[in-house]
Amino acid sequence: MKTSLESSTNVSRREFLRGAAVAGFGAAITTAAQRVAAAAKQEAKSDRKIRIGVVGGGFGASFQWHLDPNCIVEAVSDLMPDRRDRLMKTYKCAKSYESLEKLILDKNIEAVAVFTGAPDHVRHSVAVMNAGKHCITAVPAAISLEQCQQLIKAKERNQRRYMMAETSHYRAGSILMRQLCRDGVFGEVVYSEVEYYHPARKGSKERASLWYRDGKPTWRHNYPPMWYPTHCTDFVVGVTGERFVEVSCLGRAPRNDPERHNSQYNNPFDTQVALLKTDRGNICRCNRSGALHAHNERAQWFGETVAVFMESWAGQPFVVKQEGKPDLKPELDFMHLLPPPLRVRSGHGNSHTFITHEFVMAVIEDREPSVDVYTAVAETAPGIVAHESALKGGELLKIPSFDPKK
Amino acid sequence: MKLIAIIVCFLGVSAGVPASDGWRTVNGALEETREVTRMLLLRPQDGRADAVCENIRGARGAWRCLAQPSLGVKQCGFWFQAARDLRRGFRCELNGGFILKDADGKVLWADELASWSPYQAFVLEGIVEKGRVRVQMLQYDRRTLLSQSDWVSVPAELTEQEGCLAVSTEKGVVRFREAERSETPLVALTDDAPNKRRLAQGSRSEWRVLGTGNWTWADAGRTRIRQQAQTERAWALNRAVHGSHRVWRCSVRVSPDAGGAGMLFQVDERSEGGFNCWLGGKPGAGSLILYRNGGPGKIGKSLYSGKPGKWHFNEDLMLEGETKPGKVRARLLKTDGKTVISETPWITVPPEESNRAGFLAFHTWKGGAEFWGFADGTTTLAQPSSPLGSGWMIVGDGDWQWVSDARTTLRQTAKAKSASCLTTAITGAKGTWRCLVTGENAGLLFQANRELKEGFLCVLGRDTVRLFDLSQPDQLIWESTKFKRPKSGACLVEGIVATDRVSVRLLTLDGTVLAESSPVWISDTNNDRQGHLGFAARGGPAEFSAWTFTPEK
Repeated sequence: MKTSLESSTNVSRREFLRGAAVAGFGAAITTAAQRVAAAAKQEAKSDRKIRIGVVGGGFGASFQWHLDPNCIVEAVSDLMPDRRDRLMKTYKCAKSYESLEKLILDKNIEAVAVFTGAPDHVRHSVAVMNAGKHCITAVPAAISLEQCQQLIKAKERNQRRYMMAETSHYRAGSILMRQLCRDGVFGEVVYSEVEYYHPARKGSKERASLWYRDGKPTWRHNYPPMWYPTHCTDFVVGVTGERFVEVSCLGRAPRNDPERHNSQYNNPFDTQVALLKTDRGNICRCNRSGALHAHNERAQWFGETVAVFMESWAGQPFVVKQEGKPDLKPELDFMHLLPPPLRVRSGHGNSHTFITHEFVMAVIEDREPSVDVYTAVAETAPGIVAHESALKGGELLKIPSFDPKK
Repeated sequence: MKLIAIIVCFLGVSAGVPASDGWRTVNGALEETREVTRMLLLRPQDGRADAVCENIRGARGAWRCLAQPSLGVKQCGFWFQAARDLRRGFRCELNGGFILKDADGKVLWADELASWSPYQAFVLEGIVEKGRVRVQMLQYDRRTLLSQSDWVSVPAELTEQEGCLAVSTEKGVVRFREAERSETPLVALTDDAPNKRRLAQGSRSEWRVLGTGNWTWADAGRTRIRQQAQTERAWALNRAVHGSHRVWRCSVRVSPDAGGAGMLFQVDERSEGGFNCWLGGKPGAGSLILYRNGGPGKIGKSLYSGKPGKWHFNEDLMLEGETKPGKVRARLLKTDGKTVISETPWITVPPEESNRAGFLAFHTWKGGAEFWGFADGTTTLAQPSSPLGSGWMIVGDGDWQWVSDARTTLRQTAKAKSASCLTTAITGAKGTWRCLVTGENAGLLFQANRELKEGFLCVLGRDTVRLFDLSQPDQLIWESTKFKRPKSGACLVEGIVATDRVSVRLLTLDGTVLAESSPVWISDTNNDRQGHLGFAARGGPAEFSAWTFTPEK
């Protein structure tokens, strides 16, 4: 169901940002200005409800599909019965399947939310789209460059909507930073520092909980930190629209952590630090670790006259610093962008409700979501190459582009 | 600047282009933007932008739109009942405050203290009736009133003409959404609007405000005043409370992160002179200090400073000051008005100081505080203390009592629908919260706030365990119907708060696990949020003991 507004006037954030990247802000705004003439309504409100299937009763139970006025949870699935029950209760859904493979055969389902383990994301996403259904997956999009290509091919072949549920994209600080860029307040982001620390130290309950289930290793067991880069990379790709083109990365291999031996991924590292260059020549320092005494998913962005610092675990408040002007410490609340039933607290800086609604509306409005397949891969692949660089002692490596050829 | 110049240059292309939805830019540029939902973005050219929507037309009724100003905006808002060329109409704007103007810019009404900042979203509304208009400013939820004018009389011929809606901004970008005209305003005229709750000033008011604070009544009954600005120093003087050689009392609650707060007594009209009974020292764990009051224009002098650790943020306390000829003293009490937490000795001062008549005033430093219990001339006692003693809060309809003087077991005896109690002495975030529960439909509250609107509740039924997240609309986040209660009826309940997740375990007294949830993903705001431990009973008697909190290492 496509309204004239939706088909003719949609100036997506990606279109705007990519336009800005290629030809400067002016060109992007021209495009936007030309389309304003047809902006028939401010909000295309639709009564249509998509029927979604939710797979994965761990993290997958922390979204708000049942609260979205444009969504009905048709069925759920998890291999584990207790998690399946939890999904049914959370989403008030009476129908469940024992596996994703069975769920995607349900003709009533038009979209599937895949919250399985990272190594399964591509296999599951491809299966979902091959079944003719729209797909949203947890991060990362993939764990190899080959998988990135497979994912894009499946999306393009099936012409379904694909979104990666990247939480950093909808942290309030990211939303504000996108507005600052779009408003022309920030200008070029010359240098950024992005970091994701989630401590799971040896002997900690956190490690026991994340790395093992029923005594067996989970997919998170000694997972390479840079294979989970998107909470960091979205702070650049998802904010300015730039693409990373080169990376050099160092890794730290712990000497006294026997649990890291016999790694399923042959990963020696618990901490990785990457330097990345963007297609506009800007620089980013990206830190990933599960071993440091630190806990953050944040960024700080530096321009020539403006800098923005996200709040940090160490006590840094969110602040916009402008040359010659007083600091701005805004109250960050963008809940007004959501329909009232979704204005509830949610995970990862209240981002889950935004992800929920963005995916639902992308399907309803027949448009690409904010973190579409190209953005998802552009946020995932730099980490895969960064890990390769770390294994080669920090060698500077090119990051391939997966964007469509112009 | 060069980049902005390029933007403005390109924006000229769109200015004045009529759009099929009726939007037309008078100056500046109008764009469509999306962040989850669509918004109109109005960008100034040569410092100003106006755009008219000719599809939203009418005369009387309620006109409104949501506005989110960006950095640099000097003033922004919307026109209602406006002529197409903006030579007629009313303007509802955010500028230094919140303001109603006519088309010529003449101010018809202003709330200069209405506060807003860039990137906050507000719903602005203008209401037109024959011969009068009014405006109001609400939070984006379209319910919470922030500021409201009374009716402003205008010539009747102005309100009877058809007009349209327009949006405007100066010096910065504004995002707009939900522009419309309706028959009914979002909120009716009320005497209890926040701007009307501000402590009135002027010759007819008993209050006088000094400094840069934002003083308002905290309740509709106008019994509590609150200073809520993050400002250096703020004073509110009550000219209705006057005297000397008396007991001056008020209750106080210091907001988190404030530097201190206190009660001044026997001060003059400028809040100078007299004495200052002050909660100062280390913020949140400070001491009672008695000052010879300075005031806005003078520096005070400490007469006595008590031991630290006597007051804490968000704690209801009572301040008391007293003078007699040649003497002054101050006391910090619990809200029962009897239990002394800290006190100064009687301190000798010159008789002209102790004998001088003056007013009561309140003072905050680097943050906010609430004051109450001063209405009848400073002798009103605060709310009765908890029957369980200091550090315990009772919520709901229960009947709570200690089983013995040892205070190690609490019993709830009433047939209560929703009985809860909290101990504010136990505070924490991530870690393991634990207590022993006996009784059906009873359980452990953990990481809970005082209002029981945040935190978790694990309730044990006969054969069920339910875990609730108090901040969520549906609340139930995990449930097990396979739980088997031990024969003794007593069950050890553990709530475990970890990074982004919460889980519960039920154990027998010898440590056998009866039930255990897998971790449930929750909002990461819980990772650092400080909450308390408590108990809940839903329906009948229950006992609680062996409560502990072990922070995550």
